[in-house]
Amino acid sequence: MANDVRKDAVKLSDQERGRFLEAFIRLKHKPASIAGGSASVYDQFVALHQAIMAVTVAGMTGTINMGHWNIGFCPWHREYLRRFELALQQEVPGVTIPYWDWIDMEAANVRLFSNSFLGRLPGSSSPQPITAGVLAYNGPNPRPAWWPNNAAGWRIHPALQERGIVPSTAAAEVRATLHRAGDPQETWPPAQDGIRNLIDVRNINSPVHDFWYFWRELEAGRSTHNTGHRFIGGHMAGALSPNDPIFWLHHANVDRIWASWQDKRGGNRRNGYPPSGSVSPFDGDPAPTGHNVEDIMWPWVGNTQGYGTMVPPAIQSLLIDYAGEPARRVKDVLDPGDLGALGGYSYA
Amino acid sequence: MIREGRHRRRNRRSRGTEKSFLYLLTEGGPTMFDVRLPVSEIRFAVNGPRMLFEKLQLLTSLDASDGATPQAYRKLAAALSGVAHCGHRAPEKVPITVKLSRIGARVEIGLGPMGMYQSELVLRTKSRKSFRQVLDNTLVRDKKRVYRAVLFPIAGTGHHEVHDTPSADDQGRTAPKHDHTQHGKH
Repeated sequence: MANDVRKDAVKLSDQERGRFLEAFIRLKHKPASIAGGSASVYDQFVALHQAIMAVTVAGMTGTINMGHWNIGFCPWHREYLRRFELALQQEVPGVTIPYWDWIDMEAANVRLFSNSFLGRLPGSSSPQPITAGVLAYNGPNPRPAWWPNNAAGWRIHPALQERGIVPSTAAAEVRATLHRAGDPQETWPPAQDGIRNLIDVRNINSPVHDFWYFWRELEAGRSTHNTGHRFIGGHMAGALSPNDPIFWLHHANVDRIWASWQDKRGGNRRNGYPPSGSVSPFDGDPAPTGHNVEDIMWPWVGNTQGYGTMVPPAIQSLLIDYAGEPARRVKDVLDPGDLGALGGYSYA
Repeated sequence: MIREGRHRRRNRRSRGTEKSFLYLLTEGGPTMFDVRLPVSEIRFAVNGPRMLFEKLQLLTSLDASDGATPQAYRKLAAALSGVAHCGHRAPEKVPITVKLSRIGARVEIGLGPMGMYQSELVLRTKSRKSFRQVLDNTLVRDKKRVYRAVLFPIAGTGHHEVHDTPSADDQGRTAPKHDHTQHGKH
């Protein structure tokens, strides 16, 4: 089932890199099928990342962050990335999401964070605008051969512009421009040993499932997922972080590390996830709805009624409607090589 | 798996110490961080600043009769500086204040801008003396006094992912507020 191969971003050929960028730019300029909107399909994926943080479920009080701060972080983002990857493939067949291998920042600074790929890191403690390359407001100059005729530059949709990065009084062009910081802090990049130790996380001779500890380190360890978002900074440091395309490469690496952990742990991949109702060693509660192995993951709930999100209407209006598709559960995504109807992939 | 912290050599010319210390604030992590350290800089990698963690509070085993009076705590607060690096905006100075109540004084340290990922709080002594020296000089009269001084993270409340997100719409329309404690964690 694992037909697609995700590669190290710094090892892509010029042709592979061009095809990947072309798919991105096409998706960013592909009109969303929503009423009266100027949003693109890419923007719809961005909106979803915020909507997931405030999911409502009938009969439950309050909201649930279905994609963060608990074990469902891993499966939810696996599904999210795979759906995004399939959307890219509709634009350029065969394209896959490359991964950003965090530990080799030297290579990344040369091959990935360059004007010919995903733009430079300003190396600043304050967010700075991306002014050159495919992610510049006006796009690259000169245009590469693959550049779609209808494409302007990389412009952040008005409903998806984070506050705080630039003053609200800034010109519209500035507010729509992708920003990054790339502040070199002590906690980035992670050491090779750190990632190796993460993949080796086990909790032998304990009743607590070891995935709880692995997930926490992967999402919120000293130099892992959360730290990477802050290191890139600007839009990557906020709830609408997919506005920066490096988001997808960053999360492909998160997913790669999870897949490596699953492989190294061995056995049935389903057993590599805590059984439903198991209690968190951190707060003593079971995982929230959407995070348990048998749970449905919003927004891929099929025809199940009672789910919603409490984000502002401007965000809600951008969301992709998945009604009518089969519901997706956590257990459906535990094997990246076999994601059922979504095919499968592996890492090179 | 949570690292207790680690020392880091500093390149700049030293005045009292050459090392820094790093702590990690995360779910299920330690809830007490020793600050009586022989370093002039302590860094905190803070997951979910002002979402999971609201602020830090200094706790000591000292009594006012030892010298830990409100005036002493104010002197301590004035001797420290803190800057939050959140990536989302420019580094921000955090407030270091003394909160008074009928049970005594507490030094409180802010965590900077709200964020759903991670920020890095850099605490420094303004004199570049070590935290141990600054604490000893400000809070205790008897320099041989044995005591503990720790920073304790206060848990965040509310559910800011919903109603305080940077992308809340221009009309200020936000979802209804509710108390985080109503429904446990998210």
